[in-house]
Amino acid sequence: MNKITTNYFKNLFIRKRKLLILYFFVCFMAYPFVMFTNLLTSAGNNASNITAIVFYLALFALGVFAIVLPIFTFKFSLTKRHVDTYYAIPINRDHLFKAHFIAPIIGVCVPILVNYLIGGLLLWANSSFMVYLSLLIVLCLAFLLFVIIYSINTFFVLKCNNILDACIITAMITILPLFVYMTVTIFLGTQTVNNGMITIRDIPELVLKLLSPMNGLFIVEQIVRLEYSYPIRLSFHFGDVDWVMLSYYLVLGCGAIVGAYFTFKKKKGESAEQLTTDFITYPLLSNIALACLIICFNLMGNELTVNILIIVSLFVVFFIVNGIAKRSMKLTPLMAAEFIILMVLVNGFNYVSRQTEFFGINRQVLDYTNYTTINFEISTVDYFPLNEMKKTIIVKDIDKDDLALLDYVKVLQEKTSLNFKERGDTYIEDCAAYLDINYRLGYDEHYVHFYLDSEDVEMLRSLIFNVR
Amino acid sequence: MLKVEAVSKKLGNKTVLENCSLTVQNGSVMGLIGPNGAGKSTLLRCICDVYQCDQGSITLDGETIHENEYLKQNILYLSDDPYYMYNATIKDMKEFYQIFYPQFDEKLYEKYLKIFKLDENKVMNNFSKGMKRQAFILMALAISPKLLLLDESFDGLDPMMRLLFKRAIGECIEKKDISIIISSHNLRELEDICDAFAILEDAHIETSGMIDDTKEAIHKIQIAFREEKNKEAFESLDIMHYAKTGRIITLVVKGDLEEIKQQIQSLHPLMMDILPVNLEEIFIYEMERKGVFVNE
Repeated sequence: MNKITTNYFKNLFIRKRKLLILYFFVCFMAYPFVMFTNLLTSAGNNASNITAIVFYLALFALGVFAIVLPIFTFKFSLTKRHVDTYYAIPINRDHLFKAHFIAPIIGVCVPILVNYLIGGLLLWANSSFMVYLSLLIVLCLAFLLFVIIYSINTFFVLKCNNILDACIITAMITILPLFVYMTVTIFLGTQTVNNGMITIRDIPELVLKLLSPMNGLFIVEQIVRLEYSYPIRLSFHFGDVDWVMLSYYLVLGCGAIVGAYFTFKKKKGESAEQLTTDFITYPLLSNIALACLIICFNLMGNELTVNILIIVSLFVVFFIVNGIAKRSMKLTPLMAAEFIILMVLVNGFNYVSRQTEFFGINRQVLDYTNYTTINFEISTVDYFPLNEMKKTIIVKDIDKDDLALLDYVKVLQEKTSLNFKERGDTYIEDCAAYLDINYRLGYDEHYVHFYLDSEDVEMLRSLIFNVR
Repeated sequence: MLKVEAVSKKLGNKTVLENCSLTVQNGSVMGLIGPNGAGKSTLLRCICDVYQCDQGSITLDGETIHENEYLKQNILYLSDDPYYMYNATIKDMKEFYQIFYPQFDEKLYEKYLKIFKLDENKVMNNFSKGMKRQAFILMALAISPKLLLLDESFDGLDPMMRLLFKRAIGECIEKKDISIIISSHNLRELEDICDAFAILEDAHIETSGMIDDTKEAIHKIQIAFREEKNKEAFESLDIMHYAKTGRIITLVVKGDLEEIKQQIQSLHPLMMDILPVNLEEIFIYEMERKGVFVNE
């Protein structure tokens, strides 16, 4: 950075000095001041509690700042008045981006860090240097995640051409992962049967983690725990951290910084206050949102009148979203075509998924060779376990009778899958009993639950007791 | 010297500038005139690098302006509604501009601050439109860049302030040899300040040149004849404007005055008066000739 950029960088802080002083004061009051008061009133006994609470608050604040700051920082590239000044002044785009990108990071992180370093001394005195250092490391990790989320939001803000769109898109990328999570949960709930392989719980969570780097803050939050022994102390669980996910967020963040930098460099002055047309903004995000809505209001299995109502409602939503994006409430053939294509694609996918029994996965059973023991337990309809109908298979000692029983599990799975395909439910009318199978390998366990008719019960009885 | 060569610019699907060329000499004040939407502001934005031109080149003293931060220290662009930071005072804006323009003259700033009777510690949000303009003109005068681009910057000033501003500009040109491009709709004001002009119309620079030279080449003549004469009688002349009120014919003609006089004399007029033309008339007649509007 040259002298002009350095001076401008300083000026960015000078301009916001009142706000920064206020922020620093709030940080000071939140930690060092409270810690000092605690020292005077209860000899520092609550140092760990206070630190943990303030740490969680700081994480929340970092999350909020990461969402809000990109809009404030880069609004100068979104309005004509700003653009006329900022693009005309003698500072090149490269330096302008660096100054505006880095200043908020310093402005947010340094006051937190400085106040932690001051207030944390009392924590150090009450616990140990390792606790002080560990929290410092976790705090740095939180700062890293703040920068990642901030970079991603900056990238999207720079893809926008006006402040309203920047706000909407920022809100969308914050909320959309939750919406996708909900949709995936609903989709899997309506398309899959539990065969122990597809656990509805895991996939949506993974999708949420992959789509929302905000989750990184939760990962960091879980590192720090309060041990409710006497005295209450802080413990750090670095071993539980999902480092793969954090590395993934880091890659995302780096990509977002590079993307934001080049987007800013290529950003045209005349694009300010124009409609946002970049593919990864409205067209992509709103279509993802609409696809999610279509999945949520699955047309399969509904009555015609309900389906028509759903289609009309979805179209109204689509029309409003398009209206916001294009600032025009005009129905065009292209819009209608887009809606029809999206409806056909998503419902087509739903239909194919249902017809193929979730691409054949619903019929699959777990590979027993990956487990050490398999427990079978049959209960009556009131869930009373039948003692004589239990069996445990030790995989290494498996015999042909066990294999026959495992083969029958495939038949049960196929019946369940077919039943689900036809009726959207695994429960059967003539249910006589339930079968619970528990596959186990050490602490790794998978459960599969089947509804049995009297024929199945008899068949299982014969297989378990080897009665031919 | 600013050289704009064959610059073209599209905004969306609309061609706003097409093959525009002009030259502004050092120490010259150019008036950029044209109807609304002609592309004046776009041209100024292209010059100061707010917009990148699609084709052509813009150079100041032979160097390309685009992304040249050292060269841009010699250029200041004041838009019609300049940006100031939220709750900023004139002093804050001075500090802002001082970062980018090392030549910022504190003494000139103090001098014009007193002349314009502005309080540097007052928040600009509370200023009237005219006061805001004064504040930015004050910055421009204190910076005295080699090239000053003013986009309708003094349209909102009161007559006294306009006079002060004109004087200040005159001083700046004299002392610092600055060049100015002013876009404005107030052509009478421009005429007093500018020595050159360029007319932008429909994305093209239709006419440009020195105001005095142009005035010498365009003549407004009032003539009267004993018998009826229509426009065809003056076919040999390069007529920009023709108007007839009763027996009196008003002609705006391009060309050498003596030759024009001779040709008119050959038609034996009862009377012939040569009237002065101003920049506004030149603009109107040029627009009329291009068929932009009918002036009857």
